[in-house]
Amino acid sequence: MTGIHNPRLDDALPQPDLIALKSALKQELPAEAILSEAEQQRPFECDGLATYQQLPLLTVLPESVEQIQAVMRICHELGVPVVTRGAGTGLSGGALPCEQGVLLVLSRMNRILDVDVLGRRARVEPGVRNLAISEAVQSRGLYYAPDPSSQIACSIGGNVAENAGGVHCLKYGLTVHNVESFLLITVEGDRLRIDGRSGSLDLLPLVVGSEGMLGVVVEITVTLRVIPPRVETMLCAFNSVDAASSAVAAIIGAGIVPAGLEMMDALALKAAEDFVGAGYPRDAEAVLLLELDGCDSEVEAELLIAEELLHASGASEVRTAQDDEQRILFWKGRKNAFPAVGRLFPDYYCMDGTIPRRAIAEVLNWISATSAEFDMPVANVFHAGDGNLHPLILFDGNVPGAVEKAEAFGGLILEKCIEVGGTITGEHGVGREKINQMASQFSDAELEQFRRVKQAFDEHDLLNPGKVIPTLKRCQEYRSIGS
Amino acid sequence: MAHDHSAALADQVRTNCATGTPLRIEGSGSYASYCSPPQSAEVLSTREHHGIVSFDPTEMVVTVRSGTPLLELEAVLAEKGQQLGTECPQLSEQATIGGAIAMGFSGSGRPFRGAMRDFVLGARIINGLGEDLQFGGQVMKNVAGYDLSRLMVGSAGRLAVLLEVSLKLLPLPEESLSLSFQYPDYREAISFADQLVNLAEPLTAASYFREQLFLRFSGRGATMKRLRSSLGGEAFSDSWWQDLRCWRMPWGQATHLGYREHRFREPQCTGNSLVDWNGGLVWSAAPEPTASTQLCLSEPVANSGLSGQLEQRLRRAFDPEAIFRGAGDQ
Repeated sequence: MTGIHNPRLDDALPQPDLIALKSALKQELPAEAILSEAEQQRPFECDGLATYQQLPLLTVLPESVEQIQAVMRICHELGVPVVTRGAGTGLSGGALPCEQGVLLVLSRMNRILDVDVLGRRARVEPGVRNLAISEAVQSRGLYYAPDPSSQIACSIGGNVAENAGGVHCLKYGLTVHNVESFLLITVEGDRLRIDGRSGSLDLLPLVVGSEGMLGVVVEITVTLRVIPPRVETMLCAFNSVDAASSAVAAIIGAGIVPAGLEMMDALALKAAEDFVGAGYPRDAEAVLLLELDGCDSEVEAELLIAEELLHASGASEVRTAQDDEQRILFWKGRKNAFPAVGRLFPDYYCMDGTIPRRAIAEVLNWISATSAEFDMPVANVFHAGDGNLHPLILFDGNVPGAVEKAEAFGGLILEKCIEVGGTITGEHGVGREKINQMASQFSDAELEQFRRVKQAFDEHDLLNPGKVIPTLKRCQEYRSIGS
Repeated sequence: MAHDHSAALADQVRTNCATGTPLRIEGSGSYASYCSPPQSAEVLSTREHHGIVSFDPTEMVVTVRSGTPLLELEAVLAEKGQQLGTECPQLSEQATIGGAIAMGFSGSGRPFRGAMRDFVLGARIINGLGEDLQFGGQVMKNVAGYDLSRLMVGSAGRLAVLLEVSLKLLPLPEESLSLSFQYPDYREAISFADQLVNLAEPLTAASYFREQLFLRFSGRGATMKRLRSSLGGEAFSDSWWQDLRCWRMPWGQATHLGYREHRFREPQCTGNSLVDWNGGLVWSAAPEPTASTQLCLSEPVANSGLSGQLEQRLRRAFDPEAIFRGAGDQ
């Protein structure tokens, strides 16, 4: 077993001096913060995409910025790759360890350092869970808006690394729209404050979503928002995916920016209904969840407009949640749709392409036809408002060849997303999983530009090597298979 | 008339790259009196490269060539009930969207609607090697590769030539309402505006000048009617916001601009200073920067230490032969 690294297609990995590395790290970190036995490191061998597994050389669990700086200095000096990991909920293998590198686990960096209520911001360490921020400021009437489905478990540092979204990002934006500044530790172990205003280039959006390849973010100032006083959630049933898609276009076209606009197809909504009993109509071909929030008069006005548009688009039923309890139940079905669908088959593979909204019906119909060809069912649960699809390919991993077949099907879905003017990943990141499809979405010159940007931060390619940007060899091989 | 000059622009960059002749990228030149790129460098003008590449109102996204005048672009969007996400400065009638992206100023709505970079979805650029490259896209969410399109915002001609930009749009509000209030005490004024934010009232601008608080609300007609009758205050003309957008300050043309960390601290020069962004931004006519001033438009931003070195390396990543000259360059 040579691990995930493919010596034929990936750049050569360094062969670090393990003894020198261990002894240098022991000078800076307590012994219990350094894991070197296979059994100790087993929990870290994969992230949320468990099909990729790899043990690192060493795992370290620092508790302070100083310790992180020390780890980076040592690794830089000894030429050791570093992969940073948060809560490990990522879905693209971005935190997959490097077999010749250190895994830098930031879960112990989990303090909320400062809440500025008047300024509506909070300064937090990267290991703080996404939901813990909102819980900490709820009593002040504030919350942190981006809400990925994994928000109970995922860490804010991981959110920054992947530019995580969620069901409310149509109105409130992705992670990049909700962070003000952060402290970055460079590959050399130096501190760099990035706040979008000191210096002359705005490095903040470049570092957000860079998947741990440009530096280690060790402190984040997030923007907090006022909890909206009025929230209304509508459950809308449709007899076809096409009708539901045209309702999405009608609502956006009418100048309404919903707080959330989610779609589930027949397979997904039935599974969710069976799982949590959210009250979804089982006979519908698609349901939309539409959420409006703000002050009373705005929400009331838009509720009327939306109802009219939904009926005009052919909704067979439009139900507005009567109270918070029902509203939470409507959302419970959506938020649990992945595990609900997961009960139908032993395994599922979750995709993350984003497409222009006008192509939703076309792509869903294409997926349905292709699903029949592959003889693998697909459930669709996704952010319709911003065109971010999450097709779940259902299969049984015990059947020989099924994993490879599901991956091949997934690859075709990503190619389809590119074809209609979309992208291979909306919010999960490229990581290791989609590294081949980067060769479809970008030209060699564009990939070379990415490489030069990477080198400006990390000359020797020590940060998260083998992720996001494919080598030229890999691109050539992938493109030749495609043609 | 729409004109695609991308091939000619790329040719010129390649020629200059081969001979090592410096270039300064220019749109309408409307920022020239605020930041001065070196006059010795040859001009690469994007003005002829203009026109809307695609605009589908149900997508709320426009893709536009960099030389397109803001006035022209905004008129096309308004016809379909949409608008840019920011009130980026319009310092002349010819001011282009490319210049607005390159300079990166977000206007009065920033604390409520977002910054210029928040609305950028994708960019097509020419790097210093003359290569035509596309990053980001036309969709709302896209995390494939590093976000090089948002990096263009505020890069002031130092990284690449912007050919096209794709922007997320906002619906034009049904109605807007501007109300002013007398507040001799600055902190009370900001505190009042803040209470309205806490009530989720649809504020889209809040500024303070000489004992007056100026607020703008945007939303549905019923909300505007309710606010008009419940809040009191004096209605005033939208031209106040248009003047701010064009940097026409009550005392004449703007001279200094500074970001403030502490919104509730009093402005340090109360005479000729105007506070925008609900306390987050100070415009001042003072000849020297105040303590809170971090960015002075009339002087180049100093680059020092680690971030300066990193920025230099990043510039070389886009422009290996160092031919682009931007604001602050020699």
